[in-house]
Amino acid sequence: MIETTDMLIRGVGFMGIVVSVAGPILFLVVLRPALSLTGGDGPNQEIGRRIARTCLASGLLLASATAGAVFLVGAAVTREGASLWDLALLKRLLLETAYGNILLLRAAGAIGMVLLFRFIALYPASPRLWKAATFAALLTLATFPLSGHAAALPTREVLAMAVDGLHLFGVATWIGGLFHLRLLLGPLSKDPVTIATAVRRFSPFALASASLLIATGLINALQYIGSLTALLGTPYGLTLTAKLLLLIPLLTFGAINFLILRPALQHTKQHHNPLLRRVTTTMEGELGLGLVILLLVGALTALPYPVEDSPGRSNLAPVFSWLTPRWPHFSSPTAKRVREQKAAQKASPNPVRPAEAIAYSEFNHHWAGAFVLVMGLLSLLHAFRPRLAWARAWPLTLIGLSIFLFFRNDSNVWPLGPISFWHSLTIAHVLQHRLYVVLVAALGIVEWLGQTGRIRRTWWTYIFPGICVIGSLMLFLHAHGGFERADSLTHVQHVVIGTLGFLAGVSRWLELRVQGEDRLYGKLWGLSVTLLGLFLFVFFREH
Amino acid sequence: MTGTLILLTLAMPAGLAAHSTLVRSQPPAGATLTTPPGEIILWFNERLERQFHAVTVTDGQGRTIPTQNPHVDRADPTKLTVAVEPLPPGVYRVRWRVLSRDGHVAEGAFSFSIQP
Repeated sequence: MIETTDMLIRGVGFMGIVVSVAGPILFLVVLRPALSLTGGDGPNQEIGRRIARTCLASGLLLASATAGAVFLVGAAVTREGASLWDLALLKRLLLETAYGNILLLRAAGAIGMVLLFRFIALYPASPRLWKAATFAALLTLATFPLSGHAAALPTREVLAMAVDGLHLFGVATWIGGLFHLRLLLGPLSKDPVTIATAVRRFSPFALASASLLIATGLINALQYIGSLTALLGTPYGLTLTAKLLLLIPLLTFGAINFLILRPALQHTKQHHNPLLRRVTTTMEGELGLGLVILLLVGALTALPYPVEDSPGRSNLAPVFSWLTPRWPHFSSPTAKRVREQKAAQKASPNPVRPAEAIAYSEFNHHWAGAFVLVMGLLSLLHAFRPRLAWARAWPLTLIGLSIFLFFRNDSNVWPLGPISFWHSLTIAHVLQHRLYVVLVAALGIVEWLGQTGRIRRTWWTYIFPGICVIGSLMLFLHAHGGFERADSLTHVQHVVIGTLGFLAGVSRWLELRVQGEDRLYGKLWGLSVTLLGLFLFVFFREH
Repeated sequence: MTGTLILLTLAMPAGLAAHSTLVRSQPPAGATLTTPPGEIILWFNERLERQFHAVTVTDGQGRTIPTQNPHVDRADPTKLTVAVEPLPPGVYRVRWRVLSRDGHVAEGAFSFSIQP
């Protein structure tokens, strides 16, 4: 629990600093010159004020994440005995460790940034304040490599920290810049010329940032991964592979913006220009994937580099193992048999997971995958042939899936086991499973009502892709724990499912955003879900 | 999303995220010694903080053996040393917990034995 929260807090901290650094740089380098070409001081000040408010919020987020990090380390070092609220211990942690010192610096930097952004919100025309905020944000950013993985390396740590710092700077100016720009599209919607100018100026800036990101990423990969085996056979390598896979669509969105939309925006003067709508959508795609990648970076910070990993951990066997498809189970041991075998193993001096429990679980995954596969194929059909009314019923498969999961989830509880329904709700993991079942069913019903036009599509539509992304992230965080118990196959599977889940979530989001104007995202969504279902159906296995 | 939910619904693994790992030790894990060690030295794959480390040594009956002056080497911050009193023959278990420079706490254990 501490470790998962730690990864999340690190991810949130990255988001905080990325947005804080990007704001003043974007304003000074891209927007102010662009706005001065088209407007004058009025829009300039309003845009500046809005960016400052966003940065103020991200600075507060960073300060909170830093405080959270202190308490998490405190909780980890006090696992045995001492209280987390022992002020002397926290003081020792902050003042007598290098990590604590850096966190203190970061907190001071975050508070300084918050104050500066507050002033900028009041006096947005002051270039001095903007420059001071840029300086404070960059100093705060520098604390990240100083407290990260690179700082703990036994050798060549200075080079590693420098590369990490540049990498984070590239992320900030690209993804953080996109974040601000997307937020500004709303207020600027009545001024398409300014939007077009800002986007045109931002594109080369984003390209330079992406190049920096790729260059520093390559240096890190060559230094700390070393081999293809390590890239695919270690937890760090696999998570990085997922990050790289997600980088492909991210770069594609960037290329579309730079090569197609940017030149086309040259002569934009109309309101409601369809080009601007496309820019907004691709920007959201880029941004969504970028934020997901940032959270993955949080997960990466908690994994050892393959070069410093224990010998024998770089192993491709699990990867090849799941690359071999096999028939799904067509029969399953009964719940009673599974319970009996589990009870027998509990009594054994060397308990192992019974074969019946493994077969039962694999059957569940394979056939749950069949539901997902059907859903994906129907979604694909709907994307290619929108006039086929029955293909729109793909959300109904979620209801079928929830019923299947309700029956099969836990062999010990009602309706298949001796523990009553009401009593089962007092067991934490069963309650959790039941809640997920309700969530799957609810999503199915609501999506189906939306597909058939019975209810209006509003903000709730985005809950579905949102859960998709958050759930996928949770898999990455859990996968980490699994690998530490030498359960490398679980890690491989979680990385595959997590990556496809991210892609499905982002493409569904974009499909909803374009509202039928572009079927590409619907096809991507269908394809991601189909692959996910296929993976669960014929590749999933336990051991 | 559904694949994710399926996995979360069907199985909810939990685990400990180890970061620093023990590269080697003196005495080595599983070693059988003929003379008792005066100190136990642990080498990790990461630089350690000088605070918040713990090494406990227990004998075959689970009794804690007194240790002295656990410290991280200034010249080699991946090295943690702890002095132990002369140990009689038997099996000993060393449990360690360290805080690395990147703020991760890791823990582990290994055993060694001393022959009569």
